[in-house]
Amino acid sequence: MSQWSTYRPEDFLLFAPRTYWRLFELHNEAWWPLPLLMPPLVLLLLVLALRGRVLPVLLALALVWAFVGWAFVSGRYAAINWAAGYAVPLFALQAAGLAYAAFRAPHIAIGRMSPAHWTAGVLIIVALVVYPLLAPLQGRPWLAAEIVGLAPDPTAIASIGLLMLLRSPLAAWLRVVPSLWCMLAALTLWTMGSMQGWLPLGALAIALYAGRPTR
Amino acid sequence: MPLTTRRALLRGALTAAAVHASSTDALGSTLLTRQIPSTGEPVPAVGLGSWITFNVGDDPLLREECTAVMAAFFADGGAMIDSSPMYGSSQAVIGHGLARLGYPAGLFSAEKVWTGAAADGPAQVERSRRLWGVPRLDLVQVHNLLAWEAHLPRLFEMKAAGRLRYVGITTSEGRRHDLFERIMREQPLDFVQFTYNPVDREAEDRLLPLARDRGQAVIVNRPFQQGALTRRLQPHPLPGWAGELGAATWAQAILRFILAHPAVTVVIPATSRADHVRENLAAATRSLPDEALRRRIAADVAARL
Repeated sequence: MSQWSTYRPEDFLLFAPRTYWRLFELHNEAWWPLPLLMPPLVLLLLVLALRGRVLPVLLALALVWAFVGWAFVSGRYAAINWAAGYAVPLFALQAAGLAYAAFRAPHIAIGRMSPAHWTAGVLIIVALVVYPLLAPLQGRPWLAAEIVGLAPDPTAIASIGLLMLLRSPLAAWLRVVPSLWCMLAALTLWTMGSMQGWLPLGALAIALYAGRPTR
Repeated sequence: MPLTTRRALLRGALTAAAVHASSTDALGSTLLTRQIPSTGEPVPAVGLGSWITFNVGDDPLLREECTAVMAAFFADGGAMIDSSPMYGSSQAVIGHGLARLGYPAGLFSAEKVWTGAAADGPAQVERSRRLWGVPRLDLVQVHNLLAWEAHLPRLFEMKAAGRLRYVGITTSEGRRHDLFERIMREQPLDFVQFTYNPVDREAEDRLLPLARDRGQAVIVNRPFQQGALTRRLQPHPLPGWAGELGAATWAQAILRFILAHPAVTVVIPATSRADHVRENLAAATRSLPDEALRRRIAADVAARL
């Protein structure tokens, strides 16, 4: 339909940026003290992954995706963005996929140290360290920090990183939903006029590069 | 700020608003009203939009702010609030505010039906009504002409059955004006809603004159281009005609430009600020710019963009 050409990206933004940023503040408040516990948990998952303990990593990630999809995307975000409601099944699918992969864990190996490891490390640091700083750096309260395991964007970015450590076609497939979410997040932040959109976009680029067919 | 302090502030605002309302009543309200052509019912010429501004979900702080906006709106004589199922949580937030304010008697509820599945229309209208918490919606419009052929007959049936009072259609930003015009000619609509402001003036060619001919009330949306227009004009001082026009701000100048068109019934700016609501309502007075001044306003606005 030709009328679609008359729409601009911001025409699809249903909410004010302030309303969006406040979601994280309310969410952290509601789930306190999880905002303090989630980053160490994800750090622990990184350590376990590096030591080849694949099963607990995948199982914990499955729970995290189910929780973020249920508590944040469905329970909070969908109230101001009905389109986010359509992403909830993606979070459930990802949780199911991770749980299935956990059963296959004995067949999944950790890759040898490679540049991919360093890239994965960067993604996990971005999710763990950079994301919580974004709120105060942009003049929002500390309580509005986007925390891995609670907020979807750092969760997706950390998941891409953790899954890059695993050497398995299954792990590559499990990067699809986090990559899709990064794309949606980048689009949303772009329509909001927030520079923060570069982060999920960068993660998406890395995920695509890491997922390229080799030999 | 803690919620309790916010609540106290809101209570203060509500009391102040109530005092303000009674003082304007004593002086005789100066708020411009226009008649709905199909019934002759008067309706205040400045309403309140809810796109984006009222979509605040369950956020208690932002809900209080929206309630304060509605309180200021009703206190200064406002009546029409416009929303849509497409606007996220706006309907629920309006319902929350109306309940807090004790369902102000002046309310004119303007809603929309927005679903491609025609059979879902009546159920969606009923859901909207429940979210507002009112016994009956005053106006239901087909949002952006979506499935209009299926929705309009059902809306006319609901009107005949007394389940709503008026039927309309909407578009925005000049989309599908040809089809819009055809429906205006063929259907017994009470209301039509589209975009009109000193920059977006396509409606002057056909839609506005046609609404007048057909006796259809006109709701003007996006008077400030969702804030972009007033933002871009803000750095510029108001031209000399502002005094003559009685406009203290660009926003008021724009609203008075719009209201001066004889076919316009209600203009529905959206805002999340109570002071802006008061400013908007204050723009609706009986002395409006003549055609020559309107041309100057449009030219001066265009020259500053």
